[in-house]
Amino acid sequence: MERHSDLSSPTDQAVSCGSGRHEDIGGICGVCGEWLPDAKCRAPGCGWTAALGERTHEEAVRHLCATGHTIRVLVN
Amino acid sequence: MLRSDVNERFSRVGAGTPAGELYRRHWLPVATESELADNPVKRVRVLGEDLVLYRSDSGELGLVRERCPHRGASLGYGFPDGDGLRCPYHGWLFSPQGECLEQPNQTPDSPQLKSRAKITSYPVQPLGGLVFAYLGKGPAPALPRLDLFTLGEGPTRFRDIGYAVIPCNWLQIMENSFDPTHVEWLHGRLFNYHLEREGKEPTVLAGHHIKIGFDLVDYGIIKRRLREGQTEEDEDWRIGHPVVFPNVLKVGGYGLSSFQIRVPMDDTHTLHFWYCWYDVPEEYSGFVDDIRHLPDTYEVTLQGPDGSFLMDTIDSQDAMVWVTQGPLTTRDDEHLSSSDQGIALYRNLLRSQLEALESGGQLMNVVAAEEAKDVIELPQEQKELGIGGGGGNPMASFLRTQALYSRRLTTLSDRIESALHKAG
Repeated sequence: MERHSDLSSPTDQAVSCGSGRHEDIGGICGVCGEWLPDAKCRAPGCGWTAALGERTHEEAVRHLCATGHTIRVLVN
Repeated sequence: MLRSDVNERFSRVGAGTPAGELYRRHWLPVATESELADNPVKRVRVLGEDLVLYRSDSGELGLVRERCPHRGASLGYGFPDGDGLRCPYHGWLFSPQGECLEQPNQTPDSPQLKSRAKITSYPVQPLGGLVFAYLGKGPAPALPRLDLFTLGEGPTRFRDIGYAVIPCNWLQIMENSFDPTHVEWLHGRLFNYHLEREGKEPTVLAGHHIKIGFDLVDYGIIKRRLREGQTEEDEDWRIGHPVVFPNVLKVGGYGLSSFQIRVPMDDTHTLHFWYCWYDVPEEYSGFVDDIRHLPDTYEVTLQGPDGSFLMDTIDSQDAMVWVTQGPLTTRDDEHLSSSDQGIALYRNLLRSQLEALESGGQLMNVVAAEEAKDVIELPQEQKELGIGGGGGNPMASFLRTQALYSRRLTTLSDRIESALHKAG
């Protein structure tokens, strides 16, 4: 899994998940510890979603700026 | 974490810095109108610039560079005279637009010397009892008319504006607004620890968070929380706390409607306003009339005589954690957890806005004057901050949160307390 932005790493050096696939244990990966938030566009009919680990936030901001749509980012 | 160069890019606000240039595209409150009514000349520091705000004898507001171009004395000790502000040293007179109007002891009169003595000035506008300044390139955008700025006093409603200089970088303060779970500890468990030591009633803010969420909206971010015992129908989740990018948080509940506004003075100091409206139960409207003559502006004291932060108000608890991070904190050594995702989201929004500024793109909440909305309505909870401990006095709990130093609020609370006591 590619990364990395210059922002907000929760796991300091985590570049990829050791298991090859994140294991969602409720908002974070139980293996590597990376955040796993969900972003969903709330504009009727849009359907945009993202669940890209930390990059979710970046993509959510990009979608807002591109469309003006309201997006909900959830951390359970 | 943030690399140190990114941290600098996000935090520093002097002229020519990325965040400083972004802030120069927004109107910023620098004083209250009441302060100028008391004293028409006020020194202000904004975005690393030392300036003087004044109201001329003719009523016009001006914001000019503090240093007199004649011999360098502070115009902050000057005095209004006619249409301008006079230097305290030799009486040179400056208009709100920075033009040198008079040089009294220069003979013969020299139009050239006056022209060379023009000083930097910035547009200012009053709104809602605050005075806003625009330090960017012209033309100035519309001053956003956020809903609370357009309210007026009424039989049961009054305004109160607290302020304090917080000795730390603005971003440390803003990040706190996207951190729901600190309430559970800083304003809950820690607060209760101190209250219990004093034999006082605990607050109800210690409830454990089971879910947090953030909405990116066209004006900024709305923070939401769900605590144990709550459902998604509760206002904490359904309405949440909106933040108007880059620096205004709205909080309310139980008769309070407030903005917390953070204005960067320089890289390591922030002017913080608690801009509050209180709407009291009708039976206390007579008391509101009694306090209306009192000043609506007060300085918030956050530290005791020994410099320790006071732990008996939510404001001073917040200030403690903002300031103890350091004047301008490092972020390459932090360890963000899953509860810090609002902070990550805000940093991404800030980065996006810096990129938009640099590429000439559209900026959030910056609109041309002719496209201004009449009022920008923001969501607000009605029940937040019900922290308990007030008994029958609806204002008592606010003393723990907003305004121990407000003459209006403390007087009103005392009057209500006295009435309750008499009624048995």
